[in-house]
Amino acid sequence: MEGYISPVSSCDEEDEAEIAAILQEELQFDEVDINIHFHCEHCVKLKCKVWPKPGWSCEIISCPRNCGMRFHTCKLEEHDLMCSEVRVPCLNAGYGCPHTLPRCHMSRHLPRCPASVVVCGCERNRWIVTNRFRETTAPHRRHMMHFNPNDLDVSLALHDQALLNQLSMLGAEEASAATSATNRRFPVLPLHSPLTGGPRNLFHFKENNNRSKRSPSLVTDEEDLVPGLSGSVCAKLRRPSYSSGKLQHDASSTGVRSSLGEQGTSTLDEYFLQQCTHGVHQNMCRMCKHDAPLPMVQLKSVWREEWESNSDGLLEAHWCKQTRVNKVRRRGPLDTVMFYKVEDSDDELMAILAGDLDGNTVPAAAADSSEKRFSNLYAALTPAELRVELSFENYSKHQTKPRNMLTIQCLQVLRRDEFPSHYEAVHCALLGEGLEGRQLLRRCPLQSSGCPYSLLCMTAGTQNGEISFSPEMQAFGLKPHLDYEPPLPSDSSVSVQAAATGSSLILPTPLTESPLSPCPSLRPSPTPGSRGTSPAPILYQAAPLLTCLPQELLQYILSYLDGFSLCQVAQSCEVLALACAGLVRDRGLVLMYWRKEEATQQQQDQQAATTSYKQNKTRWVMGKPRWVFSSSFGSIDTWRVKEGIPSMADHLKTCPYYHRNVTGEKFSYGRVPPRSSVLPLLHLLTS
Amino acid sequence: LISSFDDFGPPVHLNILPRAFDSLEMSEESKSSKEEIKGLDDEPDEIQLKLKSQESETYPIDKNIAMMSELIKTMWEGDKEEHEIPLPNVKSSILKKVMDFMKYHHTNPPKEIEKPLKSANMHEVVSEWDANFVEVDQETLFELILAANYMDIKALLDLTCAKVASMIKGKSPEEIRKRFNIQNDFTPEEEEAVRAENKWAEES
Repeated sequence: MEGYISPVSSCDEEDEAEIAAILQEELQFDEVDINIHFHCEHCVKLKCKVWPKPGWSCEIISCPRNCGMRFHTCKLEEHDLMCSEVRVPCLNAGYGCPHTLPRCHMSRHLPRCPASVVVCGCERNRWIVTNRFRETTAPHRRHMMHFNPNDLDVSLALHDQALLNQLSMLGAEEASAATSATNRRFPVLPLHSPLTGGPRNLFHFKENNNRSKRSPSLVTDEEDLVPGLSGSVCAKLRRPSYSSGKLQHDASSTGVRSSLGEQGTSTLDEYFLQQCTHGVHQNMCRMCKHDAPLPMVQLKSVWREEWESNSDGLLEAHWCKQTRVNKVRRRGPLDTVMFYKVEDSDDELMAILAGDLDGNTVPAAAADSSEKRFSNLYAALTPAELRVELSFENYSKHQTKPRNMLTIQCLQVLRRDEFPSHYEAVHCALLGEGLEGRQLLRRCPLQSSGCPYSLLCMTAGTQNGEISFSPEMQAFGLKPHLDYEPPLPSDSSVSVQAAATGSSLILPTPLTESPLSPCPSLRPSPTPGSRGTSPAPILYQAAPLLTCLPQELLQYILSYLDGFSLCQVAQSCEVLALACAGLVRDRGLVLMYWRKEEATQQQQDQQAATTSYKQNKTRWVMGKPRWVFSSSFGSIDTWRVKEGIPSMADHLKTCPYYHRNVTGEKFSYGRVPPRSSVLPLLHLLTS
Repeated sequence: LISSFDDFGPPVHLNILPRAFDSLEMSEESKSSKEEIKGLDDEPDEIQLKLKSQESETYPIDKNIAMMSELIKTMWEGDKEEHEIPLPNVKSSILKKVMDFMKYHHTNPPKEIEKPLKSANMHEVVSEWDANFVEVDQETLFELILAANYMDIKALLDLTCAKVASMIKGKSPEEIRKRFNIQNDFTPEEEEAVRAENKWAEES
């Protein structure tokens, strides 16, 4: 109660001083209101009858924008700060939203704002198929020899397998550095959001490349999921030494011999490289701090005995020379420290990805440089083989996955109001677990023996839509089944006719003329290069085509489509892609990309003053905004069982993998005594 | 009587309004009488306009119904004496369908179609009559779009564009090309760019 000043209190001297100080502050703030009259400042009457006097009071006006408020004239400026009809930029203007709208519409706009972006972080896990003896924890499964690539789960599995090819872009050490405590062998795939660039970007924009799961200081999932950080984490990729595929570790990291392709005086941030092999920043890793350093004596080779059984069956020892194996101290289970061979994981990775299921190690010649190693991988995983498990599992994100398991993230960029329908449709119904999940496709029970038969047994929505998987967009789509579709045009071949006055084509009116109204797609065998030097528009076909419509009509039609359909439309032809480009501001999403920039000395000093880390020679700057379409396809209300599908039992009758085991002999559990000896016993029982 | 006045005592201003209406009606009557003098046989509210198609065939339609088209409305307001509206860009068959649409929707204003389309089934998105109206072949559909654009009939434009959108929805690029007879005129680099969605990377 000591600090409490009661409203009715005797004014002590200290209190007086306090009140005076408060009043002083208020007076200072009153400076802002210097343009408001003395009377008007506290007058809030709607119908104030005070006579306007210059310098003292003014008359009441109602808001010139017709929001309905009435106030003194001198308060107009203040009122504009909160008038509901004033056009203001969107709240997300800093994140790229270009819209300006009246304040009263802001709440309606925000769920549909292009800058309110959600990246879906749901994961799924797949086993990699291998028969290696060591992998005793992985279930033994044979990889599928025959499969139908059009099946939904197969196309998803092939897509996941193709993501493995991204690992070939990394060097070996980078791949292992990109792992974490929960994913100990393979980094989480995809290494970057699909929208930050596919394989093309890997060649051209190296800095947009992989994102290490080991972000500095905090392994927060949000950092890895935000596409804006795609230009970030692996600063090693921006080094010229990237081409040699070797990573330059800091001197204090153990185990790996660093090849100094690049000097230590890189202008780029060394922060990211100051990670130890335990996966955290070396300043924070207690294992590096508290554990004893590795001994400086490192023998090149040692003589050891090896025991072998000779021709007599006896064990015999002979001496052989073993070269040094580099070991790395890593976290083991339950926070212990274990030693692993450095090339251990890489050999296994290479073996698995190169299709070597027997677990033979790669000959040393091929394991020379990691680049050569991984360049073989890129061609290895073709869609013809399925090297990952067909059915996937859902492990928790924070659980340590088995070493042979891949983790794949969804990473779909969605608008905030589209996210619930995406989650429900894709992650609960299609890919989910439990009773409602994965009911869509039923497979033959002999799938593990190799039978590729599958049945699509459910349709989506009231319209019996099919679910398709688009590998380019890496997303699912819904293809509705239309009850009625207009018949295809009769003349499917392109016929060129000169425009006559009697032609049935409706010529575009002068108001809607666009430079594309001569349909470029109608010219016989168009060569893309000659599009700019086209002849005068005399080519029209008998029936109008979609591409003959003027651009604004096309945009009007496309404005009825959802994000997934828009992406598909944009890939179909140039005219439609242009129409989609015009729509992207309304229907698309804007993503801001951060990029690194070298910091000037002044900024470095500022940084040094505020943070306790070493001085960073780079800083993050907001980059260009980037407009994309989301991949949502609307919500699926109901799932219906398809009618008229054959049952699985019908297939099992003819399944070639079903080896029935029908014996001709009779069967009994025990030995039945011969009949003659039974009768006396029965007699005993009944008597 | 006095008590009834107290109960239902009309306010003073109500007495003024009927007279105002009277004056308006009288002006209308005078107008119509003038028109009658001019020799037209129609009622004032049922002026028939004649729409002339591309093939020079004329179709009569009520003026009020024809006012659904902004083009006709503008042309009428520009010249109230002219009762024949030429529409050289619209074929006869299409014009007939457009007039059917206008006649039906003159009394039943259609409700707004949601964007994006909730469903590709037109029967779920629009009324039954509308859904049946657009079950035509592709050529007619596109010509209806162009006619609706030319004559500036928003409801018809919405309906036909929604129908085309429902035909596009959910299809892969190859299927779209096949459906609408479009040729793929991308260069491989452009195709890759669109696929990687770099094409829309616009700078602020």
